[in-house]
Amino acid sequence: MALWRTAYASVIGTSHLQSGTCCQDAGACRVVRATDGREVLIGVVSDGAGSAKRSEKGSGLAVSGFIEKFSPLVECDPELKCLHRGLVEDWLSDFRLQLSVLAQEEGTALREFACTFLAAIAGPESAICIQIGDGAIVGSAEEAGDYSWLTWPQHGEFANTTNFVTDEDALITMQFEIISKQFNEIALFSDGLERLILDMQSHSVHSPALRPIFLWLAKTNPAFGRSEPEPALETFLSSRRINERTDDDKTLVMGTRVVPGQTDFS
Amino acid sequence: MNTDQVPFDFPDLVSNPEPRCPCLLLLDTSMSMRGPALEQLNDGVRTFKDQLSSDSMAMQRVEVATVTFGPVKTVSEFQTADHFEPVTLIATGDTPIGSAIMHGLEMIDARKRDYRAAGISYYRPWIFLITDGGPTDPWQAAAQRVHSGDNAESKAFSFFGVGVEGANMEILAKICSPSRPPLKLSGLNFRELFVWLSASLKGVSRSQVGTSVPLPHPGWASV
Repeated sequence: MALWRTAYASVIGTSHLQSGTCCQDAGACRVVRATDGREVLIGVVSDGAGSAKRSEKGSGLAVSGFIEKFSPLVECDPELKCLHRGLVEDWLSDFRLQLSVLAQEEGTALREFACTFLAAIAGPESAICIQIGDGAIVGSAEEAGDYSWLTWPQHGEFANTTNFVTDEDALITMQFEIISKQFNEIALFSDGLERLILDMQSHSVHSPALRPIFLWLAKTNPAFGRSEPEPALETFLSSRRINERTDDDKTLVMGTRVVPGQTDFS
Repeated sequence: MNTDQVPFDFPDLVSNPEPRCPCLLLLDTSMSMRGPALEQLNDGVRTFKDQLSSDSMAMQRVEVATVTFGPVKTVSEFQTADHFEPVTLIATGDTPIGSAIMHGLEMIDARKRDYRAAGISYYRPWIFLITDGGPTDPWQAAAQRVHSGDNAESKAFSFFGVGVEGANMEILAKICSPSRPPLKLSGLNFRELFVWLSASLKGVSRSQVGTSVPLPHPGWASV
C-alpha cells in the first residue's frame, strides 16, 4: 500500500530579520488515515501580508483551522465526494468571522490579519486545490519528477499586489479545483519561492527546482502521525543560495506517495 | 565547499527576469530653463543614475525613460538603470506639457505590453513631470487621463508634478491628480530631488506583496 511521506518548513526572510518583524508565513501538513485504511494528504500554506500588523496570527489560524476542520471530513470520505466548493466557502466565512471577532477584541481592523491561503487535499482518486492570493500548488500524477502547476499565483496587475482572505471579495477570488487524478507528488509554496520554482516566462514549473527534494523525501519514513517541521527543509530554505535570491519569508509543504516501482526518476 | 548542508543535491533553481519598476521623466527643456536651471537639472539626472547604480537590486529593476519638451522628444527609451545614460539636455522651444504627458502615457502603455508579452512582472509605473512654466498647448485631455489613471480606484501609474521657480502651480495642480498635488522645488535643488526619487524607487523595487511603501520626506520641496 502506498504511504505518504511529507515534509514542511517555514523560514523567515532576511528582510524581515533586518526589520525586526517575525515570520508571517505559516504552513503545515497532515496525513489522515481514512476509515477504509487509505491515506489522504492535507497540505496548507498561508502568507501573512507585510503591511498587516497581525498577519502572522491570521496565517497561523488559517493553517491550523483548515486542518482541524477538514481532517475529520476526509477521514470518512477519502474519495472527497462530499467536498464541494460550498463547504470550503462556509469554512472561509467562519474563519473570516473568527478574525473579525479577534480584530474587535484587539481593537484593530480585519485587514490587519490579511494573509493568503493555499490548500491541497490529495486522496487516492482525486485532489482538491484551494487558493486565495499568490504562491502556488504543483504536483505530478503520471510521471514522477515531472511537475505541472495545479494553481498559479494570483497577482494583480503589479508585482506587489495580490488577494487576501480578509478582502471583501475573498469568497469570489477563492479558487477551488477538483482534479480527478491520483497525485503522487504534491508541493505547496508561498510567494517567496515563486520566482525560484516557477518559470514565469514559459508559465510552467521548473521541475529540477523540486526533483532532488522529492527524491530524498521518497526515501524518508512514512509521515502518518508526525506533525513537526522538517529540519532539512529549514536548512534548505535558510541557505545562502536561497537567501541570495529572495529576502521574503518562504514556506514549502511537500508530500510524496511512494508507489512501488515508480520511485526511480533520477 | 558549500555550507548549505542539505541531505539532497541542491536543486537547480529557475532564473526569472527581475520584475521592473518603470520611471518616466518628463522634463521641461523650454528656453526659460536655459542657464543654471538646466545645468542643475542635468546634474540632477546624472545623480539619479549614480544613486540607482549604487543599489544592485534597483539597478536591475528600475527602468528609466526620458522625454523632453518642447518640442516633445523621447531622449531615451525605457532601460534598466545600469544601461541608462543621461544625455546633456539643451534648452529649446516652448512648453507643450499636454502633448508631453500624452506621449509619455503611450510609452508607459507600450512598455506594459512589452512586459506582459515577455512574462515580466512589474510595479506601478512612476511619471515625474518637472517644469518651470505653464502649458503652451491644450492640457485638459492630458489632465483627465492623469486623474483617471492615478486615483484610489484606478492605479495605472503614479503621477508626480514638480514646479520649478516660475512654474504655473495653479495649472499644474489641475493637471495632477487631486490625491497627489504638485510640489514646488525649493530653489534649484534638483540634486536632492533626484536623490529622493532614487531612494523612493529603491523602496518600491524591493517591496514585497501586500507591503505599503512609505515614501521618504521630500526635503527638496518648499512649503
